[in-house]
Amino acid sequence: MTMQEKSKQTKDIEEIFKVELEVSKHSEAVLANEDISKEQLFEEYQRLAEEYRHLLRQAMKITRIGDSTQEKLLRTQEELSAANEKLERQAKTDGLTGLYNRRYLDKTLEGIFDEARRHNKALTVAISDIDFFKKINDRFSHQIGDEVLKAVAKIFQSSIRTKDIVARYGGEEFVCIFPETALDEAKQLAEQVRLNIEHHNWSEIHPELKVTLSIGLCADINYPNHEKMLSAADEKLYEAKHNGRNQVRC
Amino acid sequence: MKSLMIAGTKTTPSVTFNAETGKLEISGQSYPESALEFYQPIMDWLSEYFKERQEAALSFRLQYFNTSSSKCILNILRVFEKAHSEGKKVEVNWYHNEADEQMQETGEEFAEHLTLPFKVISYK
Repeated sequence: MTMQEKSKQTKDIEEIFKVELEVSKHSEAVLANEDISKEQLFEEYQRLAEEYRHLLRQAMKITRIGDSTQEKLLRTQEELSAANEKLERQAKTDGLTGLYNRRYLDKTLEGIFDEARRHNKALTVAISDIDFFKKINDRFSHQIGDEVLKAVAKIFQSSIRTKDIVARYGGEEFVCIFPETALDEAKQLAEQVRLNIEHHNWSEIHPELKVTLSIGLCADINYPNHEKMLSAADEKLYEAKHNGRNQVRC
Repeated sequence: MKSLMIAGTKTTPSVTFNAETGKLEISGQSYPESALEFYQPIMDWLSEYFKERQEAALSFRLQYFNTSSSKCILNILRVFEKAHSEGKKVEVNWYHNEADEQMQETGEEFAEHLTLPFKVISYK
């Protein structure tokens, strides 16, 4: 605030209290008068006491109004930060499956990849694709296709460890990051996911439904960036697809 | 005399009044449902304290307080001002985040009619 603004504000506030300032000026004048009678002084004292009571009541009212306004402001701030949190969560989540989305995965993988390179830590990424997903959609329905995606997401979540990160990467593609994990261990985890999907009770969704998953793995962190590493895993996925599907390749 | 320690909550500040060292601090947020109820024990403690002690350094590190609390803070400052006028060695430090211009101005506003040593200090 500039000096000018400040002095204007002070003046504005004085304006609001004009009546009270006049009261106090008047009393000073009364007191300055040496010839004043006791009765006149008493009258002035009563007037001031009344004014004082009035001001006190006002002060209490203003305080109450101030508090309730501040309370409202705080509530609004809380609502705003809750809404922000929700938005942040939504921004990194896939709406259908509740898994992380591609944007979040890309950002996270970049960080984990750089960290693994810097500290020479193990890292494995897996990219997977539901076999013949288009046929599932065409033969049954898109609703059933969506049910399959949700079920696959659930199986992923229950098959991997808490430190692993799984995301829906595209239509029927899922990417999994296995931090600080060498290829052998990651391969076992991926194999478990594949098995759990193959043996899931798909007839709950449709009596004739069968779902399998192909997975490609890469544990080589010597690529120039995380995108190249993911592409290498994608090549392995391509191999798995061409080798008969429903398998893990690395 | 016992020290006064009150843990902070979402709506009330934390209070650490050390009777040994004379270092007193109120920090956090203050918008209790009843400011009087919260500040009364503090006022009681202070009036006991100044009966037997001659020195005190009070620090405020507040991020937020409501109007009722500001009245209570004025009451506390009044106690310190009285101690000062009685020749006791008291000081008040008003800490505010350097980005919080409003809290700085509030400190200056509080200090305006006081004669005791009152410093407004910014921190990062």
